[in-house]
Amino acid sequence: MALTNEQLERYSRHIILKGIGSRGQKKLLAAKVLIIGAGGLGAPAAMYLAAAGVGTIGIADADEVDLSNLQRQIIHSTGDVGKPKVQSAKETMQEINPDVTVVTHHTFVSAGNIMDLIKDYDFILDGTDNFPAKFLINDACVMAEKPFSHAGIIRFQGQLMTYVPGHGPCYRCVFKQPPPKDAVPTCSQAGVVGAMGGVIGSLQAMEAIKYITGAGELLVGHLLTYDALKMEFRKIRLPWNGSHLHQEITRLVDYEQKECGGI
Amino acid sequence: MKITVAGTSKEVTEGLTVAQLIIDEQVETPDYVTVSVNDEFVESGAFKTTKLRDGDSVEFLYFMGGGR
Amino acid sequence: MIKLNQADYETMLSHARLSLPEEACGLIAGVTDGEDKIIRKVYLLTNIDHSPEHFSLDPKEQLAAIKDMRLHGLVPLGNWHSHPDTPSRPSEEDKRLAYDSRASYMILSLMNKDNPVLHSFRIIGADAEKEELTILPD
Repeated sequence: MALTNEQLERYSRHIILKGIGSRGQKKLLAAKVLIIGAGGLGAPAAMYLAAAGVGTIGIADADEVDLSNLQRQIIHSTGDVGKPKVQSAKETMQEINPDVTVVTHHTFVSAGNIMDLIKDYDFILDGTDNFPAKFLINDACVMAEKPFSHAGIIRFQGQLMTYVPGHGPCYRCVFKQPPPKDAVPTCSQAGVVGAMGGVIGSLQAMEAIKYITGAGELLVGHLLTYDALKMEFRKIRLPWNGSHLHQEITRLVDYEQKECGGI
Repeated sequence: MKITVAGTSKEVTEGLTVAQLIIDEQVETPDYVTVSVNDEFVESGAFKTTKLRDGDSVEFLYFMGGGR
Repeated sequence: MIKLNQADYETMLSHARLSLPEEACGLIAGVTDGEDKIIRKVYLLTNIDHSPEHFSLDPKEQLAAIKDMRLHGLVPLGNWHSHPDTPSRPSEEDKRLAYDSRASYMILSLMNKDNPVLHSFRIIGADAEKEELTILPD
């Protein structure tokens, strides 16, 4: 496959970059990444993946854009309020890069549909805002042997880890099971600065790009934490001895969903 | 004795338990924090009985659910 | 005959275009198969002359490239540079500075914006001979 002159120019900063090059760009163009959640994390991640030329980007979200989203979900604009988030996201991504095929999944993600949803993708990004969804995504990816990026943000903090089957622990290895409803605050209760999504969501996009192109080392076996107030990043090593630190996952569970938002 | 907590060196009393450290450090959501000592997880049921030793490195891993 | 992968050609072309109006340059490395040369890696180096008419490979980068070649079991096959405004053939100066009669000297002409032209030459003394170049599809 030869890149067109327009692609050579569009992706020139990738092509001359050792570690990506033309070969890496072609891998990106052939790749399929799914983003679950078109919000604070999913928004910047989707924009950067579209800009990077990831050939197929799936985006899943059941909600419509509302005014309070615009403080951080920069893929949506004022004129998009009321529109399904996946439609708004698709429009922005296509404008950034018409090369990219955007597949919208205007749906809640549940134990009943997630395996089908993730099956055609090479890498999955968790951009959700609630623990039931995070555990569901984890378990589905573990069962389907799909690599994924887990992330969370709140107030002035964020965290991130990457799961690659067989290479490191999964989210459940670290956090065992979801906390009870209301035990841990969410962004709508505690607040979050929009740029937190930008920092962590961009890191998620970066992990996806690294996975696809093979560049560098993935954030496997580590939890990256970011404290914006202290301006501190820490990379915490996670215990791993070759197998999951929990019983084999054989079925998916729809834990009780939180009321506000959530996938 | 000296231990490292979340990357910072601290002077603490001999025989300090994980449970006590969680209180001393004013850990948010103390009932839902994951603790690793020297890169090994400590089960929450063992917080009260796990005594820390000189040179131990403790990490607190928190649930962070936000994303949208 | 010298063979170059489509992806490596695209990398050179991107770098050359981004370097305009200056000449871009670099090294080529790979393996030999009898009379044939197969390029496995293209290095993008800095043209320390920063000129639209001359090029000089940054010496530190050259060293690093040679080390990298050794690390990967590749042999140096020659060098490449771009001609922003002139055709793909060695200038008098290009011929004068071509010290190695066994090396391949590749010249990428960007004279025609939408139609770049790449040729490869062997240079012996004052004579430049075009060699057969095949660009292998990915």
